[in-house]
Amino acid sequence: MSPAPVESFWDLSLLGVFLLGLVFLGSAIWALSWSRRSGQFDDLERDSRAIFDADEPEGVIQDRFPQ
Amino acid sequence: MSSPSVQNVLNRHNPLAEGNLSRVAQIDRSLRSPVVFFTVMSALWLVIGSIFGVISAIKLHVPEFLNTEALTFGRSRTLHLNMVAYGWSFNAIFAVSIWLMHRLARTELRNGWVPILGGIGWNLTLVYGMFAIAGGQMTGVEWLEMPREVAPVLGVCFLLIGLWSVVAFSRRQTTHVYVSQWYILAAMFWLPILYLVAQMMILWFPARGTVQAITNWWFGHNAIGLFLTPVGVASMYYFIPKVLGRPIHSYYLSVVGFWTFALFYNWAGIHHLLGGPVPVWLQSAGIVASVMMVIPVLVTAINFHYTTTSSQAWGAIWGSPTLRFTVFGAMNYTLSSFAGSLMALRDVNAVTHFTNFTIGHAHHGMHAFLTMALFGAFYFILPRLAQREWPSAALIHLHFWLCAIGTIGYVVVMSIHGWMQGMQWNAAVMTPAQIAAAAEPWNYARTICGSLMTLGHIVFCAHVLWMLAPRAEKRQGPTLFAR
Repeated sequence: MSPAPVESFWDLSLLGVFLLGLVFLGSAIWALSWSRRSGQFDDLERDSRAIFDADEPEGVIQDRFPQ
Repeated sequence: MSSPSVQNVLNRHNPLAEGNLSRVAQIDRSLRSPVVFFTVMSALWLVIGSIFGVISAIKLHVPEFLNTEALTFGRSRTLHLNMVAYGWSFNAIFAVSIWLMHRLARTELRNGWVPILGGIGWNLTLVYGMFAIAGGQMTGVEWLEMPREVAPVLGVCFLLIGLWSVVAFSRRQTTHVYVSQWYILAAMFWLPILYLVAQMMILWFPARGTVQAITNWWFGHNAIGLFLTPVGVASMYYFIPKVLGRPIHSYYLSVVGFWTFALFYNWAGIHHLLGGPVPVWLQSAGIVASVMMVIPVLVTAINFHYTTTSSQAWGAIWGSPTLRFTVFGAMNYTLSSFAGSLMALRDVNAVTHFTNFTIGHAHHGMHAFLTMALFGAFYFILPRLAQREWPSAALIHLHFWLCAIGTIGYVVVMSIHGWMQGMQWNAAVMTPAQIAAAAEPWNYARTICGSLMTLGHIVFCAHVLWMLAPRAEKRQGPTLFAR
């Protein structure tokens, strides 16, 4: 006996959600792999200083209450 | 050799002219319009949404208060949730994430009118959604109460806004991707998927039975955990080391924290349905994920603790509006996350479920952590965009103490009363009417604490509008504005 149309639709929808989940997982694995390949983990000590620059250098407090 | 043009001569004496600005100031200038727009929108929604929260709280001990159809408890409480979630939090996060992504990518924003267009659409759609809720046209699905026709419009607007974080990343002038960028990029990627699946499976092509409830809490919990929380954490990872002028204690741990966060958070929402008619293996998976969240939270706590621990650092924290709010948010991120893991345990959940404990926990995360962290971000960002100092240190102090006392008081009141409620219900000695009557003093305390927070929000909003009003003299560059 063939399933009712609504059940067929839901089987298809759940398959879609499952595939979306796989894409989700795949993209996370790809991002992790890209991070390693592009050297994101090579020198974490140096990279922790990426937020500082000549305008807002390390060692200088950047915010205080106004007078 | 040609003589200098009149414009060049004028520029030489104008510190705000393009050629005289530092790189950071040029980036800030390109971000000014959209970030200020989202900031003002967020502050306005925060005030209005908080007022609806207070109205809801008052109705718990004065039921006849504002007794109109549009302001029944069910509607005013829903308006509060939607206004502070989609109005305040989302607008604030758009502002902070656009600014952070461009600052970290060392690139200027181009075509800034596109996110502003998305922002106008987002906020007009929210206004429509709020009137629909007040008119009784809500769906009854928590976190998705606005009528389903708003979803496609909000989706398009989100893409117009969120896309710019991705564009900034793709145009980055740096080789390293800082941990804050990871959190923001992930949030911008996760939310559309969450929203799409939840809309489809609950409102457009409703799944049957408990699958709707499972999807509902998968979305509801992840909207907080996979969109709001990552941007809050990203903000803390940027502003704490930035303002202190010292790198994060262990950058290695921050990377571990991000990837474990991404791995565990998305399963945790099912703990909202513990004890319900949901497969036990699914509930157990939710419990395991909730407890595993201890790892990324602990990592973040260790990092922030050791970055801010030194005699000089504590003085800097107390003397900086940005750090005072951000560190308060960071401490409460740790506390509320640990509390969330505990609440997912079956024995604890048997007491706290359906009680004020859960509402206290929601405010712990959404206000004591996220909102305070976002306030901290705005105290850093706005002076640099407006090129002027905050007008009043006293208003910043007032804002902090009203919100800090209000939010901690609220969490304490709701947690103690929630636990008592759970014990009373489980003991089955008191009647429901007696349990409700016993709640009255706690409901008064809830209103007082909520009112303190609301007053703090009004102070913040007024201060933002005062600062942006064209009165103060403009200053040069993204400098430390302390005189």
